[in-house]
Amino acid sequence: MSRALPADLDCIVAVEQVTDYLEGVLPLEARTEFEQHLVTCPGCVIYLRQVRAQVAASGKLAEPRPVAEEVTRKLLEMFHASRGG
Amino acid sequence: MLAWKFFAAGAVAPFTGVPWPLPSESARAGWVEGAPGDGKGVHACSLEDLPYWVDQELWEVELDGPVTRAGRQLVASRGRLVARVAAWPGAQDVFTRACIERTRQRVLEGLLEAGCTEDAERLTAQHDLDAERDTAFAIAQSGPAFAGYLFDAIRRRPYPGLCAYIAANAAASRDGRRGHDEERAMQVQWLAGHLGLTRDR
Amino acid sequence: MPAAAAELQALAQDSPLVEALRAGDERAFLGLVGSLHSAMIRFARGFLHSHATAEDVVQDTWAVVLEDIDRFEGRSTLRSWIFAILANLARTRASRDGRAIPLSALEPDQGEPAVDPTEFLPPSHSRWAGHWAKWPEPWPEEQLLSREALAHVRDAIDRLPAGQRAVIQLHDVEGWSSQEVCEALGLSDVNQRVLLHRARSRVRREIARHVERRSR
Repeated sequence: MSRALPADLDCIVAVEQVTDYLEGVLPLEARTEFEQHLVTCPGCVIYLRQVRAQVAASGKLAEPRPVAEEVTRKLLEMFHASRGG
Repeated sequence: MLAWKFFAAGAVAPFTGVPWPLPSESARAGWVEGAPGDGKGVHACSLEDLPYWVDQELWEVELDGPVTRAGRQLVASRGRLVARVAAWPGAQDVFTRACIERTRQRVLEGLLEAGCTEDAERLTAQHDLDAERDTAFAIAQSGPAFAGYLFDAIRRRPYPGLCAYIAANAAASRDGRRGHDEERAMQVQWLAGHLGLTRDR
Repeated sequence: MPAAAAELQALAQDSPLVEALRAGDERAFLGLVGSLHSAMIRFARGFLHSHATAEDVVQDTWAVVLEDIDRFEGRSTLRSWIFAILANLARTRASRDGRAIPLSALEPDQGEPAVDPTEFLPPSHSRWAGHWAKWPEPWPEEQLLSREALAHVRDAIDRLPAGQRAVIQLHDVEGWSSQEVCEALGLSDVNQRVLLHRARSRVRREIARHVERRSR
């Protein structure tokens, strides 16, 4: 039996486009197809949500840590030496 | 120019997550500017586009600036909410039932054409959707695979965009591109009629 | 804001800082160190096995930055310039320690799909070939932000091949723009995105495994 319309996006292809989609680099036509696919695919909507959640979680890993005192001291010495002062 | 747009709950644009400002009793809604760049403006639907973008809320919107067509949507440089189509998503369930009904008709026609009268009878003998869904599945396993579209349509009732897509695929499996377009046109007619959407704007 | 304007803004924000550094402004330098040092250590650890070695290489980087600051042309952001120096030093050190690390060369497994193909219906399926065999389970997002889950994410990133790790570290962990990541790592747009895509896919698989285990 023939598949409906060859232009329709499959999930297995859509998941490969998620990074480009989130980066905003999909050309208009591809972006429209991708978004249309989401309208018909709760599975891919969940997948996209997962990727976004994952990126948000990754961002939480960047904890700013105070620089150790001896390191600060050393770097300051370096700085003043380099600025000739 | 007036058009329509489907939104996530709260008039939130479904793909950008941007909430559109709401109109009030006394004032029109603020404009939403589209991002500049290739097709990145504000997207909206003409009547014919609606079934492809089904979502939680449906609004009349006003578009400003040059409006172009990009595939199945309109693209404009800015847009604003005009009025909510109150009958949606209340009418969602009736919409999906109509998609299921048309799919059922097509499957039955297909079964009869293929000489599978017993299967067709088994199907019409079912009195509730769940039973019909399971029967359609069983028929597709042992007989004509296209009966599976009825299984799909009933199973995916909670997802109107998907249900409409299945109905279009079912039509395409019988009548190719023409069948697909006919089914989509019927979906447009259904929405326009049941939601009171008028074409001349 | 469109990419070009955001980029210009980032570059513009750098110039007063660069001027201050050149003028010997100690507070400006300390501010810069404070904002970048821990990110630099995290990044260096992607190439080097010990914290001590990473700390060494980061300090060497600051030395080079101070030597070369007068020659910084502002064509990239200051931090991507600094991280480019750091990346080179870290890789040189890693090679010296016996571990050569190709960065921009795509890994040999060029066709690695984002998701295990068995999660989709095969081409033989009459109606849904290429679609999810079963929709993914939504992740409870609060669970994802728990310490345990974050430790799994950290662990998954640490185990990535160096190129993927470097990209995801700067892009997703440190929150840099793709433009800056490309500048720091000397990657083309396309290569950076491929590495990011692969990295995210591998990390996703780890998270999915963790979430599934928890939900049993």
